[in-house]
Amino acid sequence: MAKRSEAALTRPRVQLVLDVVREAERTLTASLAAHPDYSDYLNLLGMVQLERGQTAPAIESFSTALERNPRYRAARSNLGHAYLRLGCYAEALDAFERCVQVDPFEPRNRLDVSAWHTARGEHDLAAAALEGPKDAEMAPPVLHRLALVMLDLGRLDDAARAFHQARQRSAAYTELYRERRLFASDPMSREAAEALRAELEMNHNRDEILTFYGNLYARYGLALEARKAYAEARRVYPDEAGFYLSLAHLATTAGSSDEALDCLARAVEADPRDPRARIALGFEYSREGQVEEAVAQFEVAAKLRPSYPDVHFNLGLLYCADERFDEAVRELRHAIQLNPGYRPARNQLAYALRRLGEDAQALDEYRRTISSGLRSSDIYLNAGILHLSLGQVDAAIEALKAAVEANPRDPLPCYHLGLAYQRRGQRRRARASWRRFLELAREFDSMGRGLASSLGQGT
Amino acid sequence: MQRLDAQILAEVRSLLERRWIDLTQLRLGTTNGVVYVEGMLRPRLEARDEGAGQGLRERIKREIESIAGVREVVLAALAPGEGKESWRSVPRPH
Repeated sequence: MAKRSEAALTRPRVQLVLDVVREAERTLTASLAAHPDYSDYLNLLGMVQLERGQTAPAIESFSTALERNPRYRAARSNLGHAYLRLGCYAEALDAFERCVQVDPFEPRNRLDVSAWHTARGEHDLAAAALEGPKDAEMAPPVLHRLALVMLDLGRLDDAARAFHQARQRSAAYTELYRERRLFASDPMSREAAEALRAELEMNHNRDEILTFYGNLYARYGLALEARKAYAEARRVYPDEAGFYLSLAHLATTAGSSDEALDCLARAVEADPRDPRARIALGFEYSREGQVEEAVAQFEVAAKLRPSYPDVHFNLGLLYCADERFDEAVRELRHAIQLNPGYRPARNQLAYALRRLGEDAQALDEYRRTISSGLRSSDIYLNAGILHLSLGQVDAAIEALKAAVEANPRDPLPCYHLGLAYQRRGQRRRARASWRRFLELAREFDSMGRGLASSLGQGT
Repeated sequence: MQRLDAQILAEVRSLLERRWIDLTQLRLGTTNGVVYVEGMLRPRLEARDEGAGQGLRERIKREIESIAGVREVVLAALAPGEGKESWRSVPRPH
């Protein structure tokens, strides 16, 4: 027994080891070969190149990403950090100032400019750069950075105050400071604070590439490594909702829906104003058939991001599920107004209008859906039924024939086509359609029995 | 049926998420049990074993068809390596 245990201990174990940086480079290069215009891939590739110390290629990647999308703030910021690494201060500052032009309220901009001053040893200016608009609350990563700059300035009390505020506003910093025993002594452990200063990642955008590494690990089923990478990303720039969303995705890919739901609830709790978390939680409730809870999440998401057509579409779909068709029509129209090419939304609008008894309007929307190129047996069937109800028999026959052609195995179009032929007085064709319906519709037993009886009577 | 539609759509999203498909590139819809997928069927991460083009599309189509309540899949999404957009109705066999 002892020998067997020893053998088990010494037996070589198969272990999947992923060189994540190399794999990221390979993956992104392959992705760019397929989609050379995707600026997000270029930005990530640039970050991988920075990780590998290849600053010049990284600058080229970021610059190309910006050629594709000049308003890509993260790529512009990364470009600045790459220049900063080379000591090209003018180019770095130019990049950081352009980030402010793209999004003046983004807290990361202040970290960029502050890092630029820190790199030049201008600690007073590094602190001043972190100040935002008057009376505006500082984001936790800005407070954390301010604390570190205060350490640079030798202002320990101010550093402790900033650390304390960061801790109050962020679970990630609460955990980090507890782990490092920053406040184990009163008022603050200077050693712990200096250790945090030494670990500072000047490029706060690195959370994005760390999250990408986490996704790569997850893709290869390495959940533990994925979690570590997500946790590291959270340390670089705490985005609580994003962190829990990553964990929820990890749980989803592992097939653990309870854990995913728990992570999504924590994402919403961490940042109730994050639309991504609201939308993801809404979908999870929807998947479980919890319509009311899903509606509640999408309603908040619609208020947070009124310009997202997808949010209005999904809210409309959920209102339909709840038979609140007036509200569904309002939301679906809103989605189409924001994106006139949103064909599934127009199809759903037609359905909701039909349920409201607005047959003419519903038919108009079905026609527009079909002419936009979105076609299915179901769309043609509904258009055909509406034509018939409005007395447009020829148009009904055309639509129903198209429905049969689109899905020859679906019995319902055959049934309604039979009705349309009957209305036109074409009894032979009607009977042929109904016979086809009977062949296909074994599952519609009750409807089928009634029809068979009437056919037998020579209808 | 409509209660199911919202569920089906969420299920389709979950499936695509599990398959590492980039949802930001897609528009999805479900009405009367018919699933509509349009846009670009792009993997979030190109893995070594990734099928491309028609293979990826067919695999995703089959998996969507296997979701409870799905009557038909209208797949208008292009997969990497595919050319011009083409709308195709793919009825589910009864």
